[in-house]
Amino acid sequence: MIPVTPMENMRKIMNKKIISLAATTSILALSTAASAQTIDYGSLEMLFDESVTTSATGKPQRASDAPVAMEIISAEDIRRSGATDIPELLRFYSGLSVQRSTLGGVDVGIRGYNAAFNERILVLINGRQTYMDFFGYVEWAALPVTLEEIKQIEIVKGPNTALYGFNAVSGVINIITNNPLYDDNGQVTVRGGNHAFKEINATITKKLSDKIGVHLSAGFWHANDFTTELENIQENVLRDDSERKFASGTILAQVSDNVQAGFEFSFTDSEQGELFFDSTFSFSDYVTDSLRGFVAAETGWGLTNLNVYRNTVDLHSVGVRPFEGDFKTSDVEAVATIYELNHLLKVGGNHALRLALGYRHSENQTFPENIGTLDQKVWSFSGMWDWTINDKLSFVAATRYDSLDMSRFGDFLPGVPFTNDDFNRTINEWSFNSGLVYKVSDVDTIRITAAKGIDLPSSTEFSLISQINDETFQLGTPDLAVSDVFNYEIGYERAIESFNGKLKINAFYYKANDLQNIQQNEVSELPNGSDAFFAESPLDSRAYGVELSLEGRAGDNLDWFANYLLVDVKDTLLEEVFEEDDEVEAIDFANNSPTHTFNFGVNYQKNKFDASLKGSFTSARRQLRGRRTHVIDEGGDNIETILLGFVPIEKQLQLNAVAGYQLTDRIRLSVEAIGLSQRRYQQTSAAQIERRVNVSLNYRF
Amino acid sequence: MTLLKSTGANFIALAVMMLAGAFSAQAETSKKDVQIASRAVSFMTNAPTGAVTAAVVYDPANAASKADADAIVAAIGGGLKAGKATLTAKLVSTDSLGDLAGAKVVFIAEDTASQHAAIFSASSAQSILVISTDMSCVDAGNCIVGVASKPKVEIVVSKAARAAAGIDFKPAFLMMVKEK
Repeated sequence: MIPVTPMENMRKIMNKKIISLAATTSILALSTAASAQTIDYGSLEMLFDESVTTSATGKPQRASDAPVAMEIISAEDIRRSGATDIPELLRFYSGLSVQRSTLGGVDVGIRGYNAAFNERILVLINGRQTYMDFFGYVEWAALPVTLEEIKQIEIVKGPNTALYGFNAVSGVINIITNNPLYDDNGQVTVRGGNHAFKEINATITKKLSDKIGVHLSAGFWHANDFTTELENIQENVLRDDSERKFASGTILAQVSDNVQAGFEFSFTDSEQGELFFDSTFSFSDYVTDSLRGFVAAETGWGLTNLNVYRNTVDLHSVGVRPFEGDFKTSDVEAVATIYELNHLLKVGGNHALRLALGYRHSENQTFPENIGTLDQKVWSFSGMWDWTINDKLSFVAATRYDSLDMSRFGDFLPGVPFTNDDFNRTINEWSFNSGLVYKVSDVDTIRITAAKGIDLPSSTEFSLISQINDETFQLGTPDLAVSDVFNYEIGYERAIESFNGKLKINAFYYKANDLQNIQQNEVSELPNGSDAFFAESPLDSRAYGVELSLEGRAGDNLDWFANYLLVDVKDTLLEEVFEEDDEVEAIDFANNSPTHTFNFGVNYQKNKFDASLKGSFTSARRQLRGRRTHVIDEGGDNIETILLGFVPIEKQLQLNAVAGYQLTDRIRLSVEAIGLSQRRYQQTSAAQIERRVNVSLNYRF
Repeated sequence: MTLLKSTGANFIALAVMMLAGAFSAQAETSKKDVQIASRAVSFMTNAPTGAVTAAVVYDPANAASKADADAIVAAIGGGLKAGKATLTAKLVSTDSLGDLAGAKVVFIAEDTASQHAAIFSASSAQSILVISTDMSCVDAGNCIVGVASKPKVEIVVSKAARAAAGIDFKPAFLMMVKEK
């Protein structure tokens, strides 16, 4: 195991932040006479007899009214899924791609464009951003949440930058947990299985009085990771145990009839091997914490929300120096502080408006050498207009303006051809979302949408300083282009009463300009004679796709689903990046996106017994793999470098199954199998993953 | 051919159902309609709490109206939860609207269209929430909330009626319903 950030330091940091944010929250609570109630999902869903979402437009609405393609996963879906983490749950939903390299290392993509350290989706927990600024990606194992506390997961497919800001370019996944003022439940889960997997987690959501409620959650799991060896034997020393521990809590108060105020904290420590941002295999330890204060209120003139939160991540990662035996490590921290104020109001009977103001300040130590800090301040302003034209037709338009000021302070390694002034930069970008929803009949709906999203380069793509060997650098590029993405889509949805089901069809065209690449670009010679690979924006890409989804019930005990994604991704290199081997493209979405993905499943429930079988077929693809190795250079010296090559990923069918029995009203015993159909299989260019079988005991109170 | 015949028959059946619907101003109130209506009560601003009387208003001269009122009363049963309130039913005939006193909610039974204005007049003066499955009652501003449970849940709120009765709803609720 690698050393972790000392807990003593963490406690000091946490204490300071708690005091600071608590003070801020108190001031907000006093000064804000009107903000918005948190949404009582359970009551609204019972009222309308269907899922309710706020993720599509920021306005509470029925899923059938949402002007976007989306999926909503309920707590009951989660309970019966047999999944032990969120990515494994998402695998079977239409349009999603899950690529796992280890027990904790996994990437999730939407409609193709999945990759190691995928930075193209935005994951929120109760509206709080969770992406890590270092690489703009989501470390799933570091999310401070367990499946058992989730009320629902809302998945918005396609760009939604106009609501959520930079990086929501493939889609948004909003995880909603139990609300302490509306939900009253608790549970303890104990789970064990092969690979010496052992887990315990507990959650409680309790309304202490009419005025105050608390939600607490904590968990721990540890396992020996998969034993199949990596191709590069030196990296196998990094396939150590995986472990995760987390805790989170929320206290929510009904300050007055119309005002709620809350405070939230979270902490995670996760350690796992994973396919790193440069497609090498590394071992990483993430220590994250977050503190959040919020005020929500309702008045006769609408709903107002004020959020202030701070996310901190300490990344300790270990690469490898083959043949020399020394680990190459990094230990860096990123802190993001976010302020969000929004107001939602209904104008007349047919118009809803949402106005939002945001400020985001992030300070990211330069990766992997902690010798400087990249500072980014983003002001944003957005507006959403929802117009119910008549009983059948509605229209939504949203736009957002982001203005980023970037700067850097600190030192550089000798030979790096930048000064801090090179990082002084302002980026101004507009994005938009629009949708037309036409209810052809009581059971038929057509959606037409268009969106423009903004993919901001990660802090590492701007500021990376990595010395690969004595003569070669891998560097970020301070004037790297921002990537624009466009998505045009038409969808049809039909409720089919004969089998109590639903048919959904979506056809989309997606285009991304200036995709960033930090891997192996063209070699440039620096003034001091060293070589450098700079981050570039060398690629345009586009995708055509169709999603088909059908679900229904058969009798009282059986429900089923099937969905299919056809996505054709084509990349266009803007210049010849690789002179010697033009078959190797450092980013290669076309070949890494399976053209065909077919998911299916059946769930059976009778009396105290329930069982589920799900399958996910993906067609063949290939994925980039970086290997740190030594080569003999032109001068005859033995130097370390990273060699890139493709690893074929065969077509595959993953089957997951679960069988559960309700021993008493409160206790459920279940057996879960992940990867039932094969003992070993490969989903990334790292080593094969292996079948997992777990036994779980769940006690609810 | 079988498929064509079957499809043709389905179209005829559908057309007949649509015609029947067109001539039926109000469908009989179902248990689910009552459940939805009671849940809507909990989204009132300053929603009632504790034991709450729900008046079920019917036309004593119309057997269908009385039967529908009885169905509503049966759906409410010994007490129907509506947020922090528990509704209990009280039958009130259109001949004795003075009996609405003390009620917080009014359910209007079917075949009472000619009495809607009078019922609303008596109710709004006491800030009573008036609910019906007859959407024309909402359109006319004589009901505050209209509910339908089939083919999917629909809730319509009359802005004029709720203003007249001085009744308001939580903003999240109003965002999700149709307002006329």
